[in-house]
Amino acid sequence: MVFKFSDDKPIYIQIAEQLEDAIFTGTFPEETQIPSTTELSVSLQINPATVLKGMNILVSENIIYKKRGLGMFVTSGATEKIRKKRQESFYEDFISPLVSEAQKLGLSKDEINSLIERGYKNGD
Amino acid sequence: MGIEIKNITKKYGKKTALDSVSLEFEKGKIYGLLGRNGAGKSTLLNIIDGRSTGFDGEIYIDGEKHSNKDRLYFEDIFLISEDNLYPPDMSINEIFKDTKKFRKSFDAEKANAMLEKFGLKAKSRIKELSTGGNTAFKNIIGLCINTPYVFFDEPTLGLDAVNREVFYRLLLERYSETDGTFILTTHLISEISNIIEKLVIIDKGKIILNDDCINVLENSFCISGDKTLLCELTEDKNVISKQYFGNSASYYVIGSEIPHSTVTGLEIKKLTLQELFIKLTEDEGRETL
Amino acid sequence: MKLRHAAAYRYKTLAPFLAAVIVFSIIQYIFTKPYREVTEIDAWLSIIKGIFFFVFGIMSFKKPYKYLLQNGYQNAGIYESFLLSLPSTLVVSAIINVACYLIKSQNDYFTLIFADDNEGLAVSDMKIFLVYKIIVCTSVFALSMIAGYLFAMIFYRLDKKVMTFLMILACAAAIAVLVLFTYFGSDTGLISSYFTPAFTMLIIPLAVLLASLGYFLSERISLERSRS
Repeated sequence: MVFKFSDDKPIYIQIAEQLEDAIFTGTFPEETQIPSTTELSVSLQINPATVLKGMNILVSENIIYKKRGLGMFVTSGATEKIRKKRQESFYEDFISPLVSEAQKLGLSKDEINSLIERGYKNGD
Repeated sequence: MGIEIKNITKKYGKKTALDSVSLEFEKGKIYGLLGRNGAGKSTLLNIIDGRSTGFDGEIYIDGEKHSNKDRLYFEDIFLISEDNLYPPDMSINEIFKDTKKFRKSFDAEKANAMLEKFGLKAKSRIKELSTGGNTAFKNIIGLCINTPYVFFDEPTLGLDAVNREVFYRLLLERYSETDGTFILTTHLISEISNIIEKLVIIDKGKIILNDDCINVLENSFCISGDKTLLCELTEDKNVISKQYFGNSASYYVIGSEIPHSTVTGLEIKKLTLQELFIKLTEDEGRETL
Repeated sequence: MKLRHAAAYRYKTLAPFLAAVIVFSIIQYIFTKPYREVTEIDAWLSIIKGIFFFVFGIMSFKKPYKYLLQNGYQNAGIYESFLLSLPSTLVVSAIINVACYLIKSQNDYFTLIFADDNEGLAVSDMKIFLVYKIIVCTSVFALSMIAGYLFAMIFYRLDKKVMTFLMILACAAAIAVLVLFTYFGSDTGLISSYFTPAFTMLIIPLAVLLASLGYFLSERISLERSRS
């Protein structure tokens, strides 16, 4: 797992997002243990309180849970939960900025639609 | 519990190095104590460690008044200072042994194990070490001393990039192992911004910021755009710096949540810790480009 | 326990000095003969030894001070550990001093007793005399060493060069006093009175007074370099 950090979002949110990504893509399968706060803290050189804050976001969303004495584990069904969550925020995260940018550039709705078509064709 | 500093004022002749400084170092956290050269960081640390006397105000360490504690040394505190106070003719090994005698809590085995990570040899004499080597050796002592409160004054001085990373990793490791309180001062602000939990900024002898690092950064931003619009929007906010480019301007704001929705024509940018620090402490009167 | 550890470090710096004391005492007594009266040479040598211990006192401050400071010791604690390390150093030095005296004058030590024993003290017991001599030596060395330490403590903030200059000045003043002593002293009997029990017994309270002054100063002097 490679973490990349940028300046645009608080670090703990980025940790939560990237852990979530890793869980979603199967790097951390369900019911397996994720790296501990200390491990992440030392390898990423980030204060453990910050790492914990990020992990707690995922705990509150029930994507990971704490097994006493052992550490944090991925909950069963976490992948589905993440998928649903991302589908819901798809509009906010991608569509809204896309439309806003398209408007800035003066692209029409039809032009956007044909671009989307192109995207699907290339993706196959 | 923690170190409580109440109204410390320290003067050198006519110059006031610290002006009624009050703050608290909470136990079990990593602090970044930032300030420009001459701001008063080292003075404050020297006072806490007992090296500096002749000041007004009080210090309480875990509830006990500083001046009533051990006449010999403060058991709960250790300061790694910028100065080179170790005898130049002694070897690292000998100093580790002595430190064990002076401070029982010092873990000499761990210290010896850390030498290799910084590329140091136990038999080297202090006078043979480079600036970086000296810093690294002192940092090792700070990392292994095991007192509840450890202060590092400029632990990055002369350390190359690789050794700095080694230090940060070891610090975080030790912090996780011991739950000690570590207070660092440094000028490499961007490097430590993720490592610290609490932030204290001192400027011209006064504390100008004392908060959780995450809180501070979540409530600091730079908003750019039309001058008059900015003025209106930021009327009730704490604007710490302004930059003008013709009719447009950039205002640096702290203490307010970063606005989500933007009015067209305005750009909002999150601030890095370094940017925030510079804007807070650069000399006043720099309002034009 | 802590003081013992603090003092333990100081013995490392004391060892070379102790060696120097031995050598110095040996040299001294090779080149002097025991006289019936106390002579100028003895007075000179005693003052020089005093200066030696004064410098020793300065060195006792400078070298260990930084090291102890780095380990978090307060000024008062550093001074206490200095005082703790004194007794053994001084007593050993004094014993060496007196021993060399004895070795040289084995054949004539009763004459020696008279040489150092001026009006007022009837000494029949050699042992008592030796103890007395050791006490006197110890006190004189103590006085010098503490004076040297306090000198360094008070002038610590100064530039190295200025400090060295002041030290040379202090030594020169001591030598000047001696020169005056020998110039006027031998005629008026000042030198012999220099070594009277009464005079030398003053040294002990003086040393104690100076040591107390040290405590007072160590708690009030801020031993940090002033930053301009």
